[in-house]
Amino acid sequence: MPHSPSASRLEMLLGRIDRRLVYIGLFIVTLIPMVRKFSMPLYVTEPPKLLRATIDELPQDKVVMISSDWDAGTQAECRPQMVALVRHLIRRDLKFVVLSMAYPTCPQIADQAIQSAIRLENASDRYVYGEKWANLGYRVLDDPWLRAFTTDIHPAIKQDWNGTPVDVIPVMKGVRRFGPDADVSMLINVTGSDTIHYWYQHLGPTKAKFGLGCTAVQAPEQYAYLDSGQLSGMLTGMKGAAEYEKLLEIPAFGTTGMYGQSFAHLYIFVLIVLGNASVLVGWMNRRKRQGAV
Amino acid sequence: MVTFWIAKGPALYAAMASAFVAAVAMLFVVHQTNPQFKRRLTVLLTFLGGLFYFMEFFVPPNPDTKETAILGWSLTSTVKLIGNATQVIGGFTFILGIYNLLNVHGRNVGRRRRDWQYSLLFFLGFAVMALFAFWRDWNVWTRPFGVPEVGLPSWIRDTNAEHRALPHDVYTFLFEGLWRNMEATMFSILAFYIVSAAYRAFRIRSGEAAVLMVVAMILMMGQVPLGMALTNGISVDGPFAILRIENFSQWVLTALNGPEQRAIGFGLGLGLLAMSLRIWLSLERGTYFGGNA
Repeated sequence: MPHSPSASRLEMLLGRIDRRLVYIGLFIVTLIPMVRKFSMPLYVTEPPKLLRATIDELPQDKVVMISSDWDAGTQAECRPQMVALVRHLIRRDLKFVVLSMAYPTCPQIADQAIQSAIRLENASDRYVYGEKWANLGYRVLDDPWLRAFTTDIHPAIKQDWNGTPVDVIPVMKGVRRFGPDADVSMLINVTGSDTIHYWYQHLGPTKAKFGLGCTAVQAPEQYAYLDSGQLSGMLTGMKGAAEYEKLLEIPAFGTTGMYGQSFAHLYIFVLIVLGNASVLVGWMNRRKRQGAV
Repeated sequence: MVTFWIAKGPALYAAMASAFVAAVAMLFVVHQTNPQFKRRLTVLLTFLGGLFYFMEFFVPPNPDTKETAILGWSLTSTVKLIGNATQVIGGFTFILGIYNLLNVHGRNVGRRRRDWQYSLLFFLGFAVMALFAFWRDWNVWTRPFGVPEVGLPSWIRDTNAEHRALPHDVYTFLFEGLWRNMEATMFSILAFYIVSAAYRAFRIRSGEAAVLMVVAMILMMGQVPLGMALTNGISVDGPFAILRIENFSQWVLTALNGPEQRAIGFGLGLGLLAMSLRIWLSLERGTYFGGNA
């Protein structure tokens, strides 16, 4: 922000805070609330409620497909979403399979999140790999493959993440098509990448339910699809994860993270007010000088 | 699904080598032709590729088999075949990417360009990560090829769990301890820049900027519990519930943002349709489409 040489001390003080101080301030205001937990109200908005209701109504003899397209860069938002969603699937005793298309590192990170969810639900004996869930690994994201995959799952996926042929994985037996009356009743895309629009295109004709967990910056674009019914529910960033944790009554990282995010937002709010106060002070000073002349 | 032949073991190597030789020969032949022929070939292949998916989409499928066919040719089966082929092509892009990285950084090191030490670090990181990843998962990588264990060094084929702990532990340290944290750090740094940029640039200088800032403030505070606490006094079910900050921000996202996103999406869709038609019919001109393409 350029300041004239005649800028007052107050104007400089408000409008020229050293960026290193701004950074340190952000670090502190984000960290402290996460370490020292506060009690704050969290209200659940409609999109997570819709997602929960959709999963609650899924038939237990069908499989849920999770497209896990997030990695370390977006794990703060997507990991708590993924863990909360998988915990819900476990509570409903639903079978699920995971697929990744965004980055080659996604399957490993998704695997850890699922293992964590299984541990948190004490379901290690019930949720045996291959019988109740499977990780199909990474596939290159392209339209022809996705068209083939949504037409018939089996020929498009030969092996799981560990190289085990899909034919011998019990949870994948007979799983071929998406749709309300087919084998995969719902797809949930937990993503920090632009995979959502591919699913809208290719999943739409199958009429399968489509749930979404995305980063906060991606969410504004998705409300149109939620409104049209193409999305059956949505989790928005860390807030979405916290809301889902509240719905399931399992406060975890999403809830804790919201405390840090709360104070970070407040901090930005204060900084913007300070910056504008500096503009106001400058304007008043100029008016005063002009009046004096 | 169309299955020509499934090769295993040495036959797989022979098939791969034959395919490679055939591809090189085909490229050689095409390379010998004149530019006009190359252009016509590109136009023809582009048109046929587009025509195939056009027909596959518009020809109604058989209601019993759900398969689409024209004169006995199953378009549905071909979709699956092409889908898998594109995964192979996608795999080649990874090889191309690795080659490009090695090439660029190799030149940096070879010519001692500025900051060449970082390029050396790239080689070190690449080699160590690849070594331990392959070592840890060698049996998974080599299983489809039927690599005989005889002849492999003992440190690779050793299946003793205790001995295999080394590659596993080193890989976990590299992936979990370094890569994952570095990637998360890179993304987190953005938050610091955004806060600093918001402070410096978000100054009200016009009516539009004022509206933008007020809406941004409402959305920011509506996303976090601290903001929700501000309007906690308003009843959740009362007639003024819309004035609660989380409800108001949700209203902004659905009632104001949603229609705008739909309008933008509609415009983009029309543009995409026009662009697709131009590419399909080779009417597009420009950097990649003119000249000797």
